[in-house]
Amino acid sequence: MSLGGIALATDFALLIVAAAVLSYVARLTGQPTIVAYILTGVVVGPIGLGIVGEDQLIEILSELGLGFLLFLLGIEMRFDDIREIMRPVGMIAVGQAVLQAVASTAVALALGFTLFQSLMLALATTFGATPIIVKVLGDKGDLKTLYGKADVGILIFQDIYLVLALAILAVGTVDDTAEIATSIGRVLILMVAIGLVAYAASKYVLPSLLRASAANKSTLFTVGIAWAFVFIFAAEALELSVELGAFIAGLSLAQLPYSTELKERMRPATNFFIAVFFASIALQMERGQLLAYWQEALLACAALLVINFGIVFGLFYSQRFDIETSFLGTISMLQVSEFSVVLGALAVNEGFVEEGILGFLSLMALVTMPISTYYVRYNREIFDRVEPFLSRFEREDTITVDPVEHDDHAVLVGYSRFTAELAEVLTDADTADVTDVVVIEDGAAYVDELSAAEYAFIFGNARHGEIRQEANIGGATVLVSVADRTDVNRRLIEETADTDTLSIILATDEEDAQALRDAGADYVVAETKLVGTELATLLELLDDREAFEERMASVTARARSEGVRADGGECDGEGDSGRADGGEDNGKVNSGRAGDGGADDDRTAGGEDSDRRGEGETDV
Amino acid sequence: MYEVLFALMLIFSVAAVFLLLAAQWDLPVIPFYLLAGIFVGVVIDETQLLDLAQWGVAFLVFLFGVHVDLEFVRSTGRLSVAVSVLQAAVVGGLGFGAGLALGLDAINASYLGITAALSSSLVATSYLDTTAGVRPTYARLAESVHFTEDVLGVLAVLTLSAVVYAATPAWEQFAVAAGIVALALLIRYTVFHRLTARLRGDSEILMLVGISFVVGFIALAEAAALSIVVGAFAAGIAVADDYPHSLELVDTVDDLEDFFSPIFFVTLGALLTLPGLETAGYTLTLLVAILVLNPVLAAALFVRAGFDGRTAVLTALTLDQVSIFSLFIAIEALGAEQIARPVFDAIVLAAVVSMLVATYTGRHAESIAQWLRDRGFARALGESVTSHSSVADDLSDHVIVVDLEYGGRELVERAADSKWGQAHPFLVIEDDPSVLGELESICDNYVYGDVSNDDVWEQARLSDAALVVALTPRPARADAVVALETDIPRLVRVDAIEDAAEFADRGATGVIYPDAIAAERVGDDLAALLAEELSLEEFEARARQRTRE
Repeated sequence: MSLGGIALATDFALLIVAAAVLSYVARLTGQPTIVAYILTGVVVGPIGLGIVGEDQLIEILSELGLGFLLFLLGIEMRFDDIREIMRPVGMIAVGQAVLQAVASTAVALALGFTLFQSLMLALATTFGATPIIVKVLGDKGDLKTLYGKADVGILIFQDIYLVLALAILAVGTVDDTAEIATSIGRVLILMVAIGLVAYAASKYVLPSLLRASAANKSTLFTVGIAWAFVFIFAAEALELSVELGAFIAGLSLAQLPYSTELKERMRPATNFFIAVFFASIALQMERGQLLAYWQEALLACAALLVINFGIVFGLFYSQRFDIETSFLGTISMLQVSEFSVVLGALAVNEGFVEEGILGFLSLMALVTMPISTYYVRYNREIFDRVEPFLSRFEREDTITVDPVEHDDHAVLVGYSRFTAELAEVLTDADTADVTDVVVIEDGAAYVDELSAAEYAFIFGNARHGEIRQEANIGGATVLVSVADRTDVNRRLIEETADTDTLSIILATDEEDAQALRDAGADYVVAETKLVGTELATLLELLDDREAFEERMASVTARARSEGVRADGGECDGEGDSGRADGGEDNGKVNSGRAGDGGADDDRTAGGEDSDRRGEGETDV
Repeated sequence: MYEVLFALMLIFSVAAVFLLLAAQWDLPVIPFYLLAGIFVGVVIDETQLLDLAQWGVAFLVFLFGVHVDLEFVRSTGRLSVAVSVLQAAVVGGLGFGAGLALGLDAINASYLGITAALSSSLVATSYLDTTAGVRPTYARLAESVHFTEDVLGVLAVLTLSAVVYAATPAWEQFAVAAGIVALALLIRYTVFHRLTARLRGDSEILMLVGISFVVGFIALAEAAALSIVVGAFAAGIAVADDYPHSLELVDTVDDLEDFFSPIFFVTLGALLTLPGLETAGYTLTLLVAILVLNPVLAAALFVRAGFDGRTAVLTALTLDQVSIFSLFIAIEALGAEQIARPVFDAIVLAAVVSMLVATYTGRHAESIAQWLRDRGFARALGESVTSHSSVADDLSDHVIVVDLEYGGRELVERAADSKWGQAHPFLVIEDDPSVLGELESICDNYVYGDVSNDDVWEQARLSDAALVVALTPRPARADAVVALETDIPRLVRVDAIEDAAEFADRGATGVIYPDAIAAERVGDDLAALLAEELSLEEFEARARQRTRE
């Protein structure tokens, strides 16, 4: 214990800096970061410079990285997103797993691997690389297209397949078949048991637990991590795969409203640890091991591209997807995934295969992933070239889906009296510009109310890209924000800049308001300034006692009533003249808004600088 | 692996349980992490987690460095810096003396002194969260005091690592540390933006860049045999906290810190041993210094410096907890085996107790201030109302505005240009000394002081006034206006429906609910736009008219 002296593990520090430098280079060349991470291990490890060896901190963090990655994968499992195309996508995924396994085994055998090695390679190379597909399609804005959704759906099925493979690998090497059978049986039984515990928890325990912890940003995060660790540790203690435990923990959180926010809060830690994981893979490898089968690896890459294209394209086509969708959906999936490397690393750890096989898989990943980013990025251009050859397969009655994302909608960032009333204006208007209202709010006090309301509700903070994407900010017709962070508002405006979204922002002070106007917001008012101006108008009546009191009463009545809007907008006359005490008149309460109760009721006057807006974060 | 996983599982589960309790009562998280540590410490071997724990320290200090706003430091002026240095010096000296008197050696006595003197920004106003919004005077004042004390904390860490932990005291380390900070500033103003310009929108790589900064500067610090705290602080200085990095780099590191800092605090709690009599004695000494001496001294100094009694007391009440840097010092000293075990335990215990007490006093600061005022505390410290006031002798039929900000400024400015404004002169009651200069230039009548002080109202000639307007969002100030025993009409701002009802029932002539007013005005414009009564251009122009005409 030497906190006073040299304390940071040097190996670890070097690894991180190298990963940062290489991922910077990757970014400049348009490559996914995973490739940079794997290369980091190659460059600084024994294969390259030999300046970093394995140490305990690297080991702990890479193990955590894998656990957290699977946890996030579990959280992301929302079958709602692909419900419409679940059946065809499921057929493709299963068909692909089987056919590709057969084909890969055959190729591996032909390349001279043993049967056992070939089966292991087949098991490991079935996956599409999520980071590439999701990242590149996301950048192209294609994730919501039919082929994007189909690919994401296939990836979800592959995740399940991956988890099963991990569970089986974790059994470890055993000698006779009877033992294998009992081991696998034990794994399956325990898995089901853990799954049942998780399911029961997600029904009866988690909703109220997370509801209680959502009050404070640190609490939600800590409870989420604790939940993951309980399952990770349980899996470890039962000698199951840690990744499986993490996956089930995530799955049990997936259907709750807090999942996106929690996921986004855990993402930085996961990204950090997973970088360590991929960088550490090559640390255990000698140069000879990485290059042991380099010729085979290159041949296998070529074979994989050709054979898998045939298999996946055929499957897409057989499920009645049109030619373009089939083509685009297929070429996105053509690479060796990071999970191949994960499975390979586990297989090496468990003693199934030697390092050379891991080297083979790593090499395949290092070759196919960078190349595939290019053909995924330019997929439409490629399709235009090959379309003449494929068009004769075109047929009628193909699958079409309606977009499930929000469209023609208004996004309210932060739920307050202000946004709630504007939502009424937007939905009451006969012009029907807005068909749908989405509220983004991370105040725990509003969860019940907003979940019950007629509006779509996303629990979370708009500072996260994922939350903004889920609300489809870029495609919104109207954006109303009371976010109290100017940088968040600026990002919101930037994301609506390309479309003709009407942006209305209530800023805290004039300085922020001006910055937001300069950034391109349509309608910005600084609340304090508006109130000062309003009041000045009011005080003009000061010498006309009767008129003054009448006005004052109406302002007071409005303040005391729940979000009221008179039709036609002019609300001034509403407080009935002469009723200066403002006692019993609560105005007309518009019944259009469900669950009026808590819009502003939950504000506690905790100290002077109490959080004025719901969107704000709770202080430490 | 099994042990580490077990330890992490236990740390986060116990911390989660404690945090749920904290959330239930709306209490701060840090003391609960420490408490969780005391429980966890029974079961696990915490030393294996020190590697992870110090990443918590690194990220905490890094983020402190990131949020250092050099502009802000310049603008708050020397006054609060002088007050906090003076307060820290006096209490630190007393703590040091008490340590010596209790029989400690000079080094251990200095730990006591440092712990007694410094308070933490993380528990009190938490300027790590400087979101725009309502910042009452005392909070701004407290911010700059805390900032000064945090810088003193960094200096204390630096001094200790250069002089105490080093084999031979090396004063030239200060020059090295200054060099590292200078390098950080150089990077911030020359390299940083160029480096990150191409990473826009890629928070994953930006996070790695941020971590690399931390790692790189810590490596530099370590190469110079300095504490990692110095390196992490410099790394924070090197990162600019502006758009869009605030979203893409700072926020992600912030999330990362949420993973590591519980490990740090829980580990710290786990390091506690069962307190003996000696520990209890030191803890008591520290608590007296932190909970009583610090606030009283600070309040007295602020009143002497010309602040009103209430602001002085409220600011002073944010100073009653142990600084995060004292905890860093304690754990570094423990690592270097330079601290007596009872002193270490006392520092951590004092941190737990004082952080909890600080939450209580922070939450009830207003009533404590009022209680003290009722007993003549402010007067005893020498508060004066007349020194910064200007009221015309024949002032009558005037409008009294409480606070220049939050709309008061617009009101006064518009009144000056209008006919009714000539008939009704304005008088502003303000407690923020930083706007006094502006006040003098835009309005003839003003009183500097606290609205809960009757003398202030007398000075403002309340009985001759036509109207009182309080646009302040600070409930206590609005409350004081509502509670005035007078027939003069009063308009008060509220931020919740229940307050509106309550204030109206208690005698406010009218209540102003800014959100409701904004909703009405903006709603009108929006409805007109939707009904095609306004073109988009006209709609956009309306926003400006709403605040300018």
